[in-house]
Amino acid sequence: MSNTVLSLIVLLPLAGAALIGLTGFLNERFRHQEKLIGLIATSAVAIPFFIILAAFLQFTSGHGEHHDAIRFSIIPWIETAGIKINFSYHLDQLSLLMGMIVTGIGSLIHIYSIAYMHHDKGFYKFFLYLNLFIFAMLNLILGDNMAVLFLGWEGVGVCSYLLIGFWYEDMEKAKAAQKAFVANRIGDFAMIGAMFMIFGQVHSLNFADINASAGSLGDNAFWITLLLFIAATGKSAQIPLYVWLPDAMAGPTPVSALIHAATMVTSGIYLIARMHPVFNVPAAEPVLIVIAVVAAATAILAALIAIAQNDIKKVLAYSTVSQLGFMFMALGAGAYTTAIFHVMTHAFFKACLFLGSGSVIHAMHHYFDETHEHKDPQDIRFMGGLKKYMPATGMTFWISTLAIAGIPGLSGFFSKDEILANTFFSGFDHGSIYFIVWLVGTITACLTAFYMTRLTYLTFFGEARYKTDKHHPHESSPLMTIPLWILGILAVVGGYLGLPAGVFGHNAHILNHTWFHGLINNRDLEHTMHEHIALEYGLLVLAIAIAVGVVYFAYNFYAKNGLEGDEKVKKVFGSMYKWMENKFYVDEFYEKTILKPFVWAGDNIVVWFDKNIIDGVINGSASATAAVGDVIRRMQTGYVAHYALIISIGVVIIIGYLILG
Amino acid sequence: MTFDSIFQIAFFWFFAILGIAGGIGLITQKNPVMAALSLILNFFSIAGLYLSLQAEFLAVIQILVYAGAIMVLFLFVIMLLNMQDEQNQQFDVMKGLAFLLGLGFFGELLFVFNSFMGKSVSGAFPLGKVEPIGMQMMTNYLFPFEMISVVLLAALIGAIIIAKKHSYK
Amino acid sequence: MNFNPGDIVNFSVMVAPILFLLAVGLMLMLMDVLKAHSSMPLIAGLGLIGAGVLAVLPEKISSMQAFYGMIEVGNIAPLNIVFLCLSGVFTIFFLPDYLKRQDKPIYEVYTLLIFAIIGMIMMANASDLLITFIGLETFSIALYVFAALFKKEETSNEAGLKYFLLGAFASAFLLLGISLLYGLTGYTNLNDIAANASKLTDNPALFFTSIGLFIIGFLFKVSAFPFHNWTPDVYSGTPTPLAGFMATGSKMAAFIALGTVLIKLNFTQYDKLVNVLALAAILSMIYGNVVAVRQKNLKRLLAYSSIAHTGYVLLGLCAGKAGFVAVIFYMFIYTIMNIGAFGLVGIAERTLADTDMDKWKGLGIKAPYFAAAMSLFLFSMAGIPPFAGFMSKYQVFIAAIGSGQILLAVIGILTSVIAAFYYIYLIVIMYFGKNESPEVSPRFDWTTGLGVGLLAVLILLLGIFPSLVLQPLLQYMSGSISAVAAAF
Repeated sequence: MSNTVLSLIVLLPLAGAALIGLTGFLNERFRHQEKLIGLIATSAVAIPFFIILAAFLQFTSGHGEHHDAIRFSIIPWIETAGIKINFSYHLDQLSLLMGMIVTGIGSLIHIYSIAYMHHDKGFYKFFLYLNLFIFAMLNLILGDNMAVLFLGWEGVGVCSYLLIGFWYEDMEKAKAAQKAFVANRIGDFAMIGAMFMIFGQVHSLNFADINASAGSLGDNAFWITLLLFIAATGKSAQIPLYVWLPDAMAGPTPVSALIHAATMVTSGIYLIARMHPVFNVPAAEPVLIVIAVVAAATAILAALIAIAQNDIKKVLAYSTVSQLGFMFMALGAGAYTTAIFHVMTHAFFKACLFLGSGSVIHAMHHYFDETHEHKDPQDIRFMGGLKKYMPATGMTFWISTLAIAGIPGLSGFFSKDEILANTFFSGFDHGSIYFIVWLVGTITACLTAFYMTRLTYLTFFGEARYKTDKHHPHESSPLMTIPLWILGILAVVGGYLGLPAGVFGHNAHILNHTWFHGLINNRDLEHTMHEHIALEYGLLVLAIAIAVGVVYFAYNFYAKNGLEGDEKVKKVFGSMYKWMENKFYVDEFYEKTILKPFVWAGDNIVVWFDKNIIDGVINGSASATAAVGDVIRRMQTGYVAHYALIISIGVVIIIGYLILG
Repeated sequence: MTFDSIFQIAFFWFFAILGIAGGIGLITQKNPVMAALSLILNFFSIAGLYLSLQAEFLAVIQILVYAGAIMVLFLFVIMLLNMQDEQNQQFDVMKGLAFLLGLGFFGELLFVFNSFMGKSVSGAFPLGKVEPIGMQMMTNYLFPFEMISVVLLAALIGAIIIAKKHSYK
Repeated sequence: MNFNPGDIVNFSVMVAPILFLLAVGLMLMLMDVLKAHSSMPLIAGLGLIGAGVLAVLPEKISSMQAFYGMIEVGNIAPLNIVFLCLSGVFTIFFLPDYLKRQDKPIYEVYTLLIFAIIGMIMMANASDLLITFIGLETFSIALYVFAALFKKEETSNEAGLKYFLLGAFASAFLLLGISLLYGLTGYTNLNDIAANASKLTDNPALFFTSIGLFIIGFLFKVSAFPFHNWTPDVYSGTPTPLAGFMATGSKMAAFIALGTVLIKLNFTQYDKLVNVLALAAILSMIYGNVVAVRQKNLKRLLAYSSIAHTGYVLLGLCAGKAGFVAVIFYMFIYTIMNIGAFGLVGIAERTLADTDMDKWKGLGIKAPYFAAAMSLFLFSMAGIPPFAGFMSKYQVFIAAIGSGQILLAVIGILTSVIAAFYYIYLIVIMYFGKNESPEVSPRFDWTTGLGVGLLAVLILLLGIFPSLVLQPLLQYMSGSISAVAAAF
């Protein structure tokens, strides 16, 4: 394919955004032509999808041979004496897969949003932001150097911020948006630090160059990988920076599905997979352990919180954090392809779940409008029995729940089992801490199956906890249900790309053995796995037993107890339940330990400096304090003199240092 | 030691001490007029020091411009504004600190100059006489000489802006 | 002395931008007298643009001095003349509207602005310390008057007096430094001083004292810690667009002048000098950013943020010659975004009757263009790509790392996280704050709108294509800069 056609992958979403933005900006009438806007925006994402698909077919036509990446570039960016950086992109196995996920799911969510955002006064702006997001995301995953990746990395952050804030009206929520931003900034600066270090060592920011000379990084690899991981924790919501993701749910639901479940939040995993040769350097081994431990902790913490939440989107948000933890566990075990595999399956079922929840919220919102009740349309305590009125939503939601819970045959089962197996077998060669990680992961898998079944049951099954005599909620329009079905089907079949290696013969794993061959080298565990083949079967059986058992138990538990089930859960967890309900007080902890000191310092440094040093010590009295308001007296009591005095102190110290020091 | 050099040293110390006395008078006098007169004393002594360096022209200009024109203006302003004696004359911590800092800076400079004592520099053009100064100003230093007029012009406009009665409030 | 009257003509051609600006300044004075007030901003702006064109018009000259080694006309001089003139042009976009809003039609401002820029050009391009000082005094006097422009307002009055007194105080140190350098070498000409470097190194104590005092004088002008404390008071009292000019043009000129002198003296070989600058950089970054977090008054916030930005530029300066391109680039980008930010604050100031942050609640909805432009400038100042502010930060960080100042770069990166916090907070207030008071929202007139648009486009353009400025900078520096500064 020619450079021009390939450039369209990146340029079309930008063109779509520009077209919608400019026309909407200039023409008031255009803003209300929802179908036209939807069509433009969707095609700006769908056409790139088909181009990537074509590239994919071209790429795979060689039957598993090692391919060179398809490269294309748009314009030169920075050309100076030291270095050339262009807007250049590459389509290799990894970016093709990610590209298809982003544009494919992106297209579906665009279609869905046409119905979901119907009659919203910011309709055109919403699609403008969505297209802009896709543009940034494509830069992130297709860029062939860290600079373009970073541009996309920041771009998706800004778009996410804009979309989270889309419906904001009060300061409380706005502060949450600010939190998202600052948390991401911390990650971003770690990323910049990593880029500097890499540039200092390799003198290039191209992935090909970096990965080729990863071996020469030596001990620096430790710091580089640690910084990259910190960067990833920001974008991909891991401890300690995960706190922004649940708050991000205030945005419209399609945004949660696209950005905060399927695409943007997985960019940290993409980053690490993309740069995995650096992580495979011996010096980086401790970092992998750190990743695995942090991931396991995040996974279980988020899963525990999810059990105690009643907001349908909050449960899904914590579930996302937890599942991202699973992906990082895979990375920590050096199983990079497995992590990407889970990124893919998770994108299918979590997007489906979020869109399903959007459909539910949409329906409940209309229902409460009709009945003039003022209830939270996102609270599952006011739902129940929705399957009857919303069959398509209910069915796809249930399928995806089974997929995330790990019911055999569905996509989530394959990827999650592979993650746990990889973690477990890492324990033999790479430190027994991986056994603990595995154990935590397995417990989290139980919890996942439990809270997802709880969510689905309380929403779709059982008795309706709202009046159905006059009105009842309605199924959403086909524009919304068709994407749900497509994602539902993908959630079922997506797993067959990566059948578990040990069980179905070692070359059956398409992702590991054929697709990523030569591009991504996982840490070698095959030997260990082979040695303990019986154990591998044992783990598989255990995983099946857990998934089926917990789902069965949870379904019956809530079928029997209904909402009262939560009371019993509360008893089981005892005093910890309160902590779970309150998200382990992490937000409050951050507020007290990090935000407060800064605010305090900002408040007090100047005051302290002026009052204590100048007034207190110098004047020996606080008399000048009273004069602050009075400009004239302020001058006379000598604020100017104070400043001059401080200048003099500076002069004496500097000169003293220069001549004596 | 020749008579010349003894005379030179005596000349220097005389004006140096006089200059410092003028400076101290400037900051300790309560009466603004007295303070201004102390400043004139200081300017005069500096002119004297210039003389001892054989910079006659500079010495004359120093007296003409500073001790003459500028100080007369100062005195006019003081008298026109009818300024009162300064009230607050206590020796507070602030002034003490300022004194210490001044002393510290003085000490540092003393230390630095002490290490430089006895060495001389070359490359300077002969100062002092009107003719070489004029020559330099019209040739090598033409640009700065002309550009100083920009400074003066800017100051003039600034003074007008601040002093002018504008119609607005 | 081989003096030749023909030289004067040649030299005058070489300093044509300065002479042209002088003519424009005099013309503006005349226009003021003739009451041709309405076209004064236009003439001033066109004059500045003309001077910029005159500067880059000649074929690129490698380093060359006019007027017997007084002023540099080659090397980067043409470019920094352009940058300084642009800082004036940007200010003029906002000035007429602001003065009109404040009902204070003070037309002498334009004349003074031109003279200030002449001073800055002289100082930045001086190759003789005498010119450095004359240039510094020229623009300083203009800035003192700017600060005190609204003489009937106490804050402005206070700002003017404070700035004047402290500025004079700092100038004294600078002058002492210059005269010690002269005493030590017998020259005021930088090239002569550099050629007689042995005289300097023979007397380390005196040399360090003189250059230290010189640095102190400039650290005051760029408001670096611990010589920063006048900044918030002065900026908040100064008419807002002029405060923006004060924070950018004069600092840019000071950084270029300081950098030129230090690099000519090859200062990076003296660890002590680098340490002084590094410490000032660190403390400025930390102090500026931390204190800015809790500022409620926008002008004070921008003032503290400008202290922090000074820290970042100093960080680039510590890298010596390799960081000089980054320093100039940073200052140019900072000029664009800061004049934009101050300009917008100035627009809102009159309408909202205050520069209090809380008054900005809900502006995102009431004044969408205004808020969008402000957000863009704030994003850029926070150093978020693809805005130019990111590129400039990146340049100084990479320069610092290239010269081994890892700690500095790390502190820089950490403090910019803090900075992101308060810049974003303002955006949050504008977009997500509920507006309680039904005041009218700020509006642009067309010149201001044009200026805002231009600055916003520049921020985006230079963020995506920094080479547009970096490339010429490197070319004018005639490839003498190491590859590290050019990285990225």
